[in-house]
Amino acid sequence: MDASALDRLIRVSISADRLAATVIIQPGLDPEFLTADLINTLLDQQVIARSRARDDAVADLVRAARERPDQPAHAIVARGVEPIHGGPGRFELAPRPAPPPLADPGATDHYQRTPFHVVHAGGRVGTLFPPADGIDGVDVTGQVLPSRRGAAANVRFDETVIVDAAGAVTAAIPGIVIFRDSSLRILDTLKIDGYVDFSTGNIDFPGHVSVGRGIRDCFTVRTGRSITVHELVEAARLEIGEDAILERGMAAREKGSLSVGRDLHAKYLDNVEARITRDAVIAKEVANCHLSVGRHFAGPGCSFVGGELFAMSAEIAQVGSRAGVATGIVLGRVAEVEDKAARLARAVVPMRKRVDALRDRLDQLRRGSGRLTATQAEDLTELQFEEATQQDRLGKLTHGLEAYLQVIAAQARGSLTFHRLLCAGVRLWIGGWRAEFNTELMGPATISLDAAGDPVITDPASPTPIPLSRLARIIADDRFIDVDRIRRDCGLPRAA
Amino acid sequence: MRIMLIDDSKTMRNIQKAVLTQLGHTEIQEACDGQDALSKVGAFKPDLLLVDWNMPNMDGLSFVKAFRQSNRSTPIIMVTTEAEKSRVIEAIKAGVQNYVVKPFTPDLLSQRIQETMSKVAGQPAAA
Repeated sequence: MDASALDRLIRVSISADRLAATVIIQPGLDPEFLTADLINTLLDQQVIARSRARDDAVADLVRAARERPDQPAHAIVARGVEPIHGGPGRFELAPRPAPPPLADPGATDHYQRTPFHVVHAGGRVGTLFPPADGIDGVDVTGQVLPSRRGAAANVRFDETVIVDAAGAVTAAIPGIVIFRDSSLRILDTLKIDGYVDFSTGNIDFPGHVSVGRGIRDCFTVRTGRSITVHELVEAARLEIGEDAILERGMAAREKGSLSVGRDLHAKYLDNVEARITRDAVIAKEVANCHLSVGRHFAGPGCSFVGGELFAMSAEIAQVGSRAGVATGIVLGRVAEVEDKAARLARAVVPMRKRVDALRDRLDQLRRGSGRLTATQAEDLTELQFEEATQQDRLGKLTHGLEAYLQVIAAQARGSLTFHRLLCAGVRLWIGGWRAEFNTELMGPATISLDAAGDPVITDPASPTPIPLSRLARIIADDRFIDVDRIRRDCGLPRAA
Repeated sequence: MRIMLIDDSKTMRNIQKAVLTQLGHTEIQEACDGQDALSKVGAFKPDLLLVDWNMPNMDGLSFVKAFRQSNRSTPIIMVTTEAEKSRVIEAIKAGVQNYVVKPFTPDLLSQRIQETMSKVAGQPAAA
């Protein structure tokens, strides 16, 4: 049999992916001529890798072709191994922190439910998993079929997140996590288009917050930076790290509170308990509020009616109302500083007495004649140690007290400017005095302390201040601490 | 710096400990007499010892003598009511570097400790 006839009757075919080799035997071949050796020779010519499986398949094929010489026979005699390609990389967002547990594990606090994923700087945002390597395959000739490494995760990061070598993704800035269109970033401003209500839950956000509408009753908003609220803040609780801009204002109905780390700007405040670290700028009205302002209250067009204002200085259009609503203005006093100074003074006085008593006892013992016994010497050592320890503590306390008293003295010289009216019934604390106004005063005028520390009133039309005692009842007040008395009681030198 | 306080009075040890803590020392070991101290010095390896004289079981002077047989260099301050000159000389001969007579003030003890440590380090004591 010539070679071309053999090629026609026995054909070796390798699949396109080179993973299978097939032998096809056409009818017409002399069965005596058809042997496994012949087929193997043809396979070896094609460099098909030899194996026991190939030999078995060839033997079976030859047997089948011999048994039915009038029919074609074929068999896959060798198989390769397919390569396994590596899986793609992926990004998994970290789960949002769970709200604090409730006393009743079955209950849900709907105020705590929030749709926002908030992180602090350095907080875990997610994990970036790298693509996997593949496993190489082999074709029917024994050649390597290379695998492909998986594709990198389809995710983009901006400079607000940090990805470390291990794939940990953390926030570079505090804010809200936004993962959209395969892009991850942290926004330092939380923008709420509607209300802070059950759709948002309480807000606890380290960056800026902008509220398109208002803040509903009983919700709490804490921000690390500033807040802007475009509509009304109801009886909510606001703890603002920096500035608060309440474009309409706040009506707290004696339930809400406001704490501002820097300045407050608002149109009006109604029944609010507020603590503002720096300045408060109010456009229209403050009604029945208790405000503690660290520096200046600026309300040149504002009425302050009812309640009490603590500030270093204040500028107000109208103080009090003609209906005689109880209104108090306290200048140059900060309740916290007063409290701390008073507490320290209460501790200093008995400690000073203790130290004096110890010192007297030591003096007596030292004056005693004769040689000390071992026990007496040890007792004396103990007493000296006690005296030194108490003296050290007393020194620290008096140092702190002195600092507070100096702050109080520096702040005690505030002033009040009223542009339109100061109504009868208003009470004003300034220096160590309380001024009670029984008749209304027309503005503009400024009440301050003169060089002697007495309250005076200045009308811009006349440069000479007149004693306030001519227009109001002036009483030495004991509502606040008496710095001179504390100095005396605590053995501190009189202030210059 | 590791410091060992050897005194049978817990109050005295507490006072010394408070002074040392104020000076910034926190590695402090206490022993209630000479025998107790000898059993602890090997493991603790103090850099300074404050030793009372009159204690039960083994007094301070006996402890100093025993300790000096194996350790010639670690400074020792004797803190005691024994104020007579002969006693002071006896203690110094036994190997004590400095001497504080009870009653002492925290300032005095502090000063003696600093003096002793400066001498060991070859520096003048801070005023």
